Order: sequence, then structure tokens, then C-alpha cells
Amino acid sequence: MKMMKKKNIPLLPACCLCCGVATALALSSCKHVEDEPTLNKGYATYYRVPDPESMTAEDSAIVAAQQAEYELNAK
Amino acid sequence: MRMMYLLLPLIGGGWVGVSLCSCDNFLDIKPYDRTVPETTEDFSALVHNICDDMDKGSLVAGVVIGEYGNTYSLETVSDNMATNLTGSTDNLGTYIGTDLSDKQSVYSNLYVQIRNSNILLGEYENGRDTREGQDIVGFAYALRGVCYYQLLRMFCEPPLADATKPGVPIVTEFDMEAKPIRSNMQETINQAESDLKAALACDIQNEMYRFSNDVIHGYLARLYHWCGRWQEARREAQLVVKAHPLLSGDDYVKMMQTQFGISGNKLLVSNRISEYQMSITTAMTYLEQRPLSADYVKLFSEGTNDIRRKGNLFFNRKRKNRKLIFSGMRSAEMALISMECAYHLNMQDSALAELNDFRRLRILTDDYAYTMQTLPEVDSQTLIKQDATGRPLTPLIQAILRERRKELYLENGDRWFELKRNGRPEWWVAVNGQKFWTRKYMFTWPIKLRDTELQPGLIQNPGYEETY
Repeated sequence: MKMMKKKNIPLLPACCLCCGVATALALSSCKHVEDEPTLNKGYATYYRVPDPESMTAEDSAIVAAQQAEYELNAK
Repeated sequence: MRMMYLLLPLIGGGWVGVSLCSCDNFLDIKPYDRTVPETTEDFSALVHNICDDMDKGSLVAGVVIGEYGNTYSLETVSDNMATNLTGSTDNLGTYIGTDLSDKQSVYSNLYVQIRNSNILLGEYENGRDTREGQDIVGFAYALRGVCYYQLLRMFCEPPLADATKPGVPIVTEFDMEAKPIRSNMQETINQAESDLKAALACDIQNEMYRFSNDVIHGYLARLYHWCGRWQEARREAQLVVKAHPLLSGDDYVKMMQTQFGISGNKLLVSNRISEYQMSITTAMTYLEQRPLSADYVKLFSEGTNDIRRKGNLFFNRKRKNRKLIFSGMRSAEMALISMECAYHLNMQDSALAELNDFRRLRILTDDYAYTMQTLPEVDSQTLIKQDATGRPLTPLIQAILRERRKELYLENGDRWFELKRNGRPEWWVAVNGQKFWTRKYMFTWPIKLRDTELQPGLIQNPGYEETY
């Protein structure tokens, strides 16, 4: 209290400080609840699927044949 | 002033206390401004709200019948469309792998509707015996039965392939604390069946409630067909066809060109209102970016003598889609179920006769009928090489499955589930120089990851061990 008086800190900021701490505590309490694993914050959400494979020359030939067939019959 | 400084810690401490109490209370308080339903009118309003969501094709309620977005995305990852010919895939699915994580929301949304059903069935007391009350109770049973049917075919292995694999958690009461583990396959089938039969016993009369007796018979046919209970599936399917005969000619064309509302022999339609006309139109535009596969198009060997090709009803000469997306139920599916059941019941002549009856309504020339001798030979190049029982295809079952593939293209993701039911074949598509494989395990989608974290006994489907 003396220090506050010495530095001439007004009353209002002291209240704000107090309320701020209280609010921060309250909010951190709520956040703590939200962060429980049961609510899945920050945990995995997606399933990983295998990476695609590179196409071989044979694969490319198959796709090219499909495109040629389409150009011939459907265009 | 000194007194004020002395009081400050007390005020601060009090404020902290009040704040923490407030937080704790927040967790305890029930939702504000909500009415706990008690009267028939209250519960009727709940049913109307769910039906309204179905009409709008919302993701939550639309998943019960199958909203258009699901139908669209499943079609783009099946073999009816030629992904390899698509230049841009920004708006079209590449393969099922990119959608698998999203299927968790389908799982959740189905359980949202099961919860709604359980609230209706558990909380509704006064008025259940009235006509309106029976309609409400019947709706709740039908809704829950359809949800379990959908969960069964999406998140479980095909029953005929392996009935020892797990079913899904069975929830029949509203209990926020309950953490059920997976039932076995037969229990899930039994739950869907008993719910649908309970709905039938209520004899729903209110047309606004969607699940008429014919619709419920249709879902029972689908359920039995999926499970290989051929006799029962055939009986239920024939009931529907008898009440809603197949159409031909202009009547058929008119029905197929009607986007919204019940028309022709459609019994059930998702997205019944035109509120989402724009998004459906957009989806149709996207579909035009991807040609249909040569494998699908060649099934129409009669060319424009098939009514589905005449006037580009299904697709044009560039193999671009012209058919309207459909999610719901219509008689053609039931007729196709019936003829397949006849085949599996060793009633070959009946199966062939029903196939020919169906083709008579689709093929515009007199040579529509097959005989056992003129049925096309089994094609070794197509993906499906075995029937639902695991036996190799014969010319007759191949012809029936082909007719189903032709007719039900772009409807309910039918081709995707047909691939699942008939052997779960693996294939790859090429995009930007890379091969994306649709693997066997991908036909059975992952259940919700969060649920498996909450309940350690809840077994995930195979293939979904890695998460991020």
C-alpha cells in the first residue's frame, strides 16, 4: 500500500488491476475446462491416407489410351 | 482512504470468487430460452423442424435421406466418371481418400438424428395414442431405423462379406453420460429392422412426415437387400412397385426432368424445395467438367434407342452429364432389387423375366428382351467381378447389375455402394502425374475420432490408425 501511495498510483487503476486479475483467473479457469482432452482441443482430427504413388510409363500409357479413345469417340 | 486500501483485497477476492462461481454455474445451467416439449403440438413442431431441414437438404438432417451434396461427391469418386480425363479437379472429388476424414461428420449427423428420435420416443407421453401422436412416434422410429441403416452401410463392412465385423454403437435412450461401444453387426441390423417395423405398426398417415408405409417398405427392402435376406427384400420391394408402378415414355422423361418435389413414382425426395436451386445448378455445372467413363457409356449398347440416351436425357455425345442429381427413393430401384433377389433365390426364369419387363420400358425397339442364350458374356475388364455373395459373375447377374448401374447413375451414390456390396474392388485414378488408389478398406468409412478418444473400447475400422 505504501508503495502505491508513494508512486501516487490512483485508486481506479488499482481496481482495474484487481478486476483484471480476477477476470483473467476466471477466464483461464473456463479455458482449462474447454481444453480437456474430451473436447478435443489441439488433438488429431483427421485420418491420414496413403500418399499417392508415382505413375510408371505403363500407367501413363493407359491414361493416354483413355484420352485417345475419348478424343476419337466422344469429341 | 486508508480504509479503502484495506478493503481493496477483500473486494478483489470477492470478485474472483464471484467470477469463478459464475463460470461453474455456466456449465451447470440448462440452455436458455428453450422450451422443454410436452404437448403433442410441441413434439409435432420438432418433427416439422427435422422435415424442414430435410427439405432444405441441410447437412445434419439431409444425411438421413442423402442430400444432394453427398450424392454428387460419391458419384465423382466412383467409376462412373472418368477422373483420368479431367483437366481440373478443383470442384470435383479426386478419389474417396480425400473425403474420408469428412465422413466423420456424416457419422455425427446421423447420431444427431438418432438423438432427436430418442428424445421424441423417450419424452413424449401425453397424446401418443392419438392419430397425430402415432404419426409422431412412427416418424421417430422410422428416422432412427433409417439412420441405423445408413450407419450400417457406411461405417460397417458389407454383412455378406464378413458378418463377424462390428456394427455401430446402439443408442436407444437420450443419455448424455452414456458411452456405448460398438454392437455386433447383427445387433445393428436388428435395431434398424425393429425400428422400421415399429414405424410400420404406427401406420403414419401424415404425408408431411415423409415416412409413409410405402417408404418404410422401401427402406426395409434396402436393408434386407444389403444384408442378403433375399426373400424378405423381394417381398418388400414388390410391395412398393405394386403401389408405385414403373413408368415409361414421356411419363418417365417428365419424372426424370423434375428436380424438386414428388413426381412420377418417386416416393421420397431430399431437397424438396427450390431454395438450393443455385447450388444444385452449380453442382451440375461442375459435373460437366468430367466426362462419364467409357466403361459406363458402353453399357448403353442400344444407343439412342435407350430412352435414357434419347434426347441426351442422361448424357450427351461428349459423355457430359445431363441427368439431374437425385437423392431419395423411386420404384426403379425396388424393381432392380426384386430381380436381383430372384436371381439369388435361384429363380433364374423370374429374374430374367423381370429384367426384360424393366428393359421393355427403357429400350424403344422390339428387341429389348434377353434370353439365357443372348445375355452378354461376362466382361472381365470391369471392376465388379463377383456378386454380393462372393461368387463369380454370371451373364444374368451381370445384366441385372448393369441395368442397375445404368438406371441409378447419379442417384444416392448408388454406384459407390454397389462397388462396396459386390467385392470392394481396388482401382486407381491419375491426377497430375500421380496415382491415387481407392483401397478396399476405404469402402468402410472411419467413425468419429473424438468418440474413439472419449471411449477407449470404441473400436475404429481397420485402415485408420494414423491421425493428424
